[in-house]
Amino acid sequence: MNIVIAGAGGVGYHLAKQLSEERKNVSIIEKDADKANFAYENLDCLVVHGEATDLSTLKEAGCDKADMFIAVTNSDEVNMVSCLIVAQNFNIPKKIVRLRNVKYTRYFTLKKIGIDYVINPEVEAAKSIINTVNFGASSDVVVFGIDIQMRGFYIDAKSPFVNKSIHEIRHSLNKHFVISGIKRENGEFIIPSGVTAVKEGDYIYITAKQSTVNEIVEYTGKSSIKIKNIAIFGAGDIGIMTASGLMGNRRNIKIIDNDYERCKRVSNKLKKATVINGEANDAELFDEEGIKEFDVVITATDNEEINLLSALYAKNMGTKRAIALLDKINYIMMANKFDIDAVVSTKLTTVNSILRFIRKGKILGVYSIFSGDAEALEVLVSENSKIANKAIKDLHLPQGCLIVAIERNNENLIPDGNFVIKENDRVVIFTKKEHISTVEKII
Amino acid sequence: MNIKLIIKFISVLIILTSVFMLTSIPFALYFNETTVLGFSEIIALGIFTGVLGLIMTKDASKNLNRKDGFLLVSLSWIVVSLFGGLPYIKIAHLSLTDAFFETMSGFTTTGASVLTNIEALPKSLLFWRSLTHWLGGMGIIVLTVAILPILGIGGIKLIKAEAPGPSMEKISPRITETAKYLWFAYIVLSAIETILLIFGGMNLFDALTHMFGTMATGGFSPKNSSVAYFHSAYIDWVITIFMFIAGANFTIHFRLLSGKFSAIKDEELKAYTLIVIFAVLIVTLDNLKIYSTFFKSLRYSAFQVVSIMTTTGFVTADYSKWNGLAKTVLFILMFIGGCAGSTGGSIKVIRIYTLFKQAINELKYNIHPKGVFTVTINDQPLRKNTIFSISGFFFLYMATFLIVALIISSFGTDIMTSLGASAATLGNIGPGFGKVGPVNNYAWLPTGAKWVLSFAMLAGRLEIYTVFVLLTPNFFKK
Repeated sequence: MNIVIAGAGGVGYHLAKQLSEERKNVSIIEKDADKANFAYENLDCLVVHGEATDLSTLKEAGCDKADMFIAVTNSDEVNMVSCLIVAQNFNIPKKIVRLRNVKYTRYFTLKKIGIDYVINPEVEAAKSIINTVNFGASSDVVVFGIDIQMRGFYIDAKSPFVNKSIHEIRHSLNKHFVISGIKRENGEFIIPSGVTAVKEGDYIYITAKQSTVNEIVEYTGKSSIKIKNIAIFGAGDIGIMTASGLMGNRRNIKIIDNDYERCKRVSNKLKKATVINGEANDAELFDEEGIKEFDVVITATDNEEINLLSALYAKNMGTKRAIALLDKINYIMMANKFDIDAVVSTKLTTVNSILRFIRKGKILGVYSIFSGDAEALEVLVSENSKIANKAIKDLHLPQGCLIVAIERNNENLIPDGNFVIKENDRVVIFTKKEHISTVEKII
Repeated sequence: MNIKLIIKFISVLIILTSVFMLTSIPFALYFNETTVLGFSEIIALGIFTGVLGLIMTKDASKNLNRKDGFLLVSLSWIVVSLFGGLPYIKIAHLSLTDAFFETMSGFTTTGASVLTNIEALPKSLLFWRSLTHWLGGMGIIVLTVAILPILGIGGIKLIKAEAPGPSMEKISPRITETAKYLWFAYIVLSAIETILLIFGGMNLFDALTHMFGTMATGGFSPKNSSVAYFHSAYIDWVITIFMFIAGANFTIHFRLLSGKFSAIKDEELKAYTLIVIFAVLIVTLDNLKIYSTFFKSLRYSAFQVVSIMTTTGFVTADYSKWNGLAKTVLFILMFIGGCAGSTGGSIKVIRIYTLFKQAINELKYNIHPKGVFTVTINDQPLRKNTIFSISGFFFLYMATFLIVALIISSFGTDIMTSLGASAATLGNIGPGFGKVGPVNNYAWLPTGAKWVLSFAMLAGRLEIYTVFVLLTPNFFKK
């Protein structure tokens, strides 16, 4: 598959990395010389230095042979115009455009300028935050289309899982669940077998039914709480969308932002929320507004450092849960290690959303985990699929590839090796990135 | 440092080299030579060692950082040269020093030889000698990455560490595809030249070995008197043209072969062509005093100019007997070399051209201190870093040239021989001046000098930086 990506910023670079590692032919257009050079040095793809709105640049990037065009530069306008140029000059079946400004989608029909799919990073991030809060804000959450969830847990010295093998953990809990992936402290990523031991400093993903997940969460020492009081730092797009999404259910929402004009606008728009004008890292403000008594603090300002620190500070002061909006991979790892319950990344949720669209067809959902080291694929098993009518242990899946959950006739199952997959099953496959193309072939 | 992966890669490379060595055996059988057993033993040893290495490094992780890349490429070349030298030791009873020198000279496409009576050696060994040129020409690492994607993403770092020229242009998004396309162009052109040479009266053995020497800009010939042996204007011209082609960028050749004729409008290619035409003209006119007619002079001058400029090193005339002007032109050409992405060595036209443009800009800055001038190549502005990197390269190259010459002269050789030997090995050319001139060879040099020159060949082929970073103390610091 040939893919042309416009823009080698955070999202573009990450997408190109992920897709090229799946052995797809990726070209990336970038106008900034330094960014272009960085991409050239680090990615196995064609880097074209030029404007994405320039016909010859688009041609050079191979638009005449491409199957997909993805415009993710920093500018909405550039994205739209380049998509329009591509639509009128080339015949590319799928065109994806990132639009920050939600209003654009209302002013004209996107199909008319050739856009097949619009991705809005802020909306994706807000959705992800809302999901996390609705599931108790106790850990990173991946929600599948079926009643099965994947949760991330950081293993500290106090965790009951430390130094136990997967067998032992399963035995002590006596519940159906799968530990789908472990990221070691040194960055190594493994898909565990029964004898793999969980160590201190690991970040693990557990797949289980909703009800089981809550029990596991409690077992690890976090009591499940009812979330009523929510504080949101940052009244940007993400903050506002999150607030309006969480509104209702007699929830008390407080929005804190340091920009007075912005506060004014928000208070006008979200009448039920309390809007406070102040700094996110102001200790007195924390006291005054009683943030430490809150159930959850969401830090969603434009500044990652402030998000990380104020989420930490809130947890330290006694807030029950903290969710931070972070994009830098090293910060995300750090946040997991500290006491921050869940991290949402605008960049990664955007990448996920685009991947989901790219893989559409037999694959119903794609969830990229550990910043792209692994993916959970939700698949509908078709009649002529190579995995149908076979026991899982006979499938000869590559090592580092695991079937973690199955839905059949509205029933959710965590399968073992003897389980036979049938047509119309919905299967969740957890796989290391290097096996994604193999999985795509056999389903 | 990922030692395991490095061992794994080198194991693959040794197996690959052994497989290529197999092609010598049909010649041994055809010419009724007694070398079959010797070759078979070495091939068996290579495959055994390689497979053993692979088994030992089964669980190597695929992460390859920048430092590992430099180490891997340099080590690969050294190990392959040691292994590829075994036939010389086993069959021609050369010393380790001579065998290593000869093989390094082969793989780096230098063409400097320590053999005194070449024609007396078995043909199968001579075939292997020329084949090392052909394999090293497009790059043994490039070849490995192209046919065996065992490295995944790491391949790009390796190819960059091996590929000639300041930057590597990609024809296709994927590096493995790009490597395949380059080899495709290389093989097609090689086939055409072989056919043309057979058409000119050569037998298959001579055609193949001379094609290897030409396409790789190497210079090994199985004849004592090199290409002059054939006394054929047709063969001279065919080889001249193909040396010129091999000294140009193979990315352009691939584009031309696939029908994209606009690729010919490349600035470097223009500069390369102009330098060659200009040099041929001067040397031809200067040689009129030696050769009877203009066309005779043109034939020998063009062959020698292209041979030295593209760093091939084939010889049809004893240029050491030419006049001062012609000799000086050849000496200067030794420092220019082929284009980026060619099989040629030396500094490369693109670097000289960039530095020239930058120097012009510096002159302009002196007149207009506040002026803004940019260096552009093919209408693309160059980044400052690129120009700095090229300046650094130029300095290191010249410094290495002088230091190697200094060391060689310390062995008691005269100034012209020392300078010639240094320039000819560092630039991967082959014949130099003085006692290592076109009709002499490197056999008489002391052992120490041979090792230093072998190092110069490797440093030149891997474009200085790849080898030199290994010598900096920072490299082994954490």
